[in-house]
Formats: sequence, structure tokens, C-alpha cells
Amino acid sequence: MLPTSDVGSELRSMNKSDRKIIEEYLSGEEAAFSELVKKYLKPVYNFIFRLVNNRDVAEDLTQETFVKVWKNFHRYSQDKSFKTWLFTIAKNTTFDYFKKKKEIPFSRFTDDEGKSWLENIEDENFLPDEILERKNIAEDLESILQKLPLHHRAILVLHYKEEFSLQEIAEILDEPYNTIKSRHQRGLAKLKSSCPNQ
Amino acid sequence: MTQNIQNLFKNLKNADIPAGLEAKILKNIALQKKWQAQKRLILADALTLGSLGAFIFVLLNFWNGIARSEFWSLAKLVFTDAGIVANHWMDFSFSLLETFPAAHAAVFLAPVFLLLLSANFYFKSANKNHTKAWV
Repeated sequence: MLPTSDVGSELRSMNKSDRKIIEEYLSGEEAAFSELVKKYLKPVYNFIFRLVNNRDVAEDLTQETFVKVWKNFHRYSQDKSFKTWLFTIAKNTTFDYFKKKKEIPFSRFTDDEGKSWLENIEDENFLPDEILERKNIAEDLESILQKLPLHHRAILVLHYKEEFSLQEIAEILDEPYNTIKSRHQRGLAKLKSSCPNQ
Repeated sequence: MTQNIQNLFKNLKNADIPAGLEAKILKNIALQKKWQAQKRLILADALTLGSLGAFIFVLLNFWNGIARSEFWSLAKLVFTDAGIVANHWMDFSFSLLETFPAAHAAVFLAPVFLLLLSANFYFKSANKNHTKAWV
């Protein structure tokens, strides 16, 4: 059973060192910011890399993310999780990149009435869970992830790799909780259906 | 089911961080900081010069206004007819108040206030810049 945590308990159990580092930074200790960069550089880079699948682009977007974090630090509210706020900026930066490239026609996700067709997809036939246990699946997961639509990929990576709750992911992706929950299920279904059926 | 997926993702290999990325980020931020400080100083310079110019302009006008006004004619009496002024000091004071060019004074105070504010902003910015140069 996946441990779930609502936003409130996440705040309570928020890494104390994050809070400490931020307090130090806000009290004028400039070097504290570099501690935050050091701490979150790897997860942010990997999150972005999994979305864009290009090292150079991931590097640029990661830089841009941390610069934005620094520039907008005055907007960060200390009663919220810093990690959630950071990943929100990372996600926005990455999605802006895709919008500029016009690689993700976001309008394609909605029909003429503005409803997302992603929510109306019939449940695909679930493949046996044993599929996921095969070694080659673990090795191929990276390439399988790249086949998934961007939103599903983001949700799965944030939930299973970065251990954000669905509530936090809803905050990061700025979508309603039920939408994220639904997309999470779709993402899992697509993940399984993308696994080679041997 | 979710345990399998969790394990799968936990074992997902992380990409290697490009060499020097952390240093690049911090350098980028340092440059942004420097540019922000320079912008602040440029703005402070512009404000200070602008308000200084306005102050001088208004000061000259104020002085001309004072010199041509009845107020100055009355005020000169202090030097020329000090005795009479002393005897009728109350009437003299009221006359001075009546003829005081209040509008000129109000207009004069505005650039003075602006000059003081911008000078304060300028010295704060210059001080910040100077401190950062040492850090």
C-alpha cells in the first residue's frame, strides 16, 4: 500500500533542514541558497530530463528553474512545502519550453466543448502485474516512460520517483485533484500497455 | 501492484548531472544579482540627478518669487526700520504671514523631499554594491 500523505501532514513532516536552510537564507545568509541548489539539483534535473529527454535542454531548463526560484523567493510562502514550490517552477519552465516549441499542442487535449478527451478514454485492458516484474521491464522503463504522454509521464515520475502525493502533484501541475487521480490511473494503464508482452 | 511500480521507479537510473552545472547555476545567479544591483544604482543615479535638477530649478523660481513678492518688501523692514518693527511686531508678523508665498514654498518642498528620498535610495544602493564587492 502506497503511503499517502495529505498536504497538512507533509508540511508537518517537512524536512526540517529545508526550513532551517530557508530561514538562514532569508536572514541574509546568501550561501544558504547554494545548499538548496546542491540538495535539489539532481531530482530537479532528472525530473526535467524525463520530460524533455534531451541533456542539453534539461541542463538549460534546470538552470532557468533555479534562477527563477532565486528571483521569486520573496513569493515563496514558508507555510508551504519548498519542494512542491520548486517542482512547480520546474514544471512550468518545462511546459513553457514545450509551448514555445509547439511540440505539445495542448489544445489537442480538449475537444470543442473544452472537455479533456483524456478523461473519456475507456479503460484499457489491464495486463497482468507480472509484466511489471520482468527484469527487462525495469531496464526498459526509461524508454517506456518516454512513450507516455507528457502529463502522464510527469504524474508517474512525480508520484513514484519523487514521492509526491497526488494532492501535491495537483498543486504542482495546477490541476484539480480528481483530474490528477484520473490521469494517474490512465498513466498506469498506458504504462502497462506499453510494456512488451512476452 | 503499486509496490511493483514503486520498486520499478526506485530502481530507475538517474541521469548523470552535467559536469559543472551547479557552478553554472550559482554563477548565473551571481550575475543576475550584480545586474540587479547595477540597475538599482542606475535608477538611483537618475532619480538623484533628476530631483537635484528639479530642486535647483524650483529654488531659483522660489527665490525670484520671494524677491518680487510683498513678503520680501515687508521682511526687508527688519533691517531698515527695526525699531518700528519691534514696536508693531504683532501686526508685522501677521502681515508677513499674509504675504508669505505659500504656494511657492509648497512647490519648493516637493523637490526637496524627492531629493532627500532619492539621495537616501542612492546611498543605500551604493552601500549594497560596495558591500557585495567585498563579499
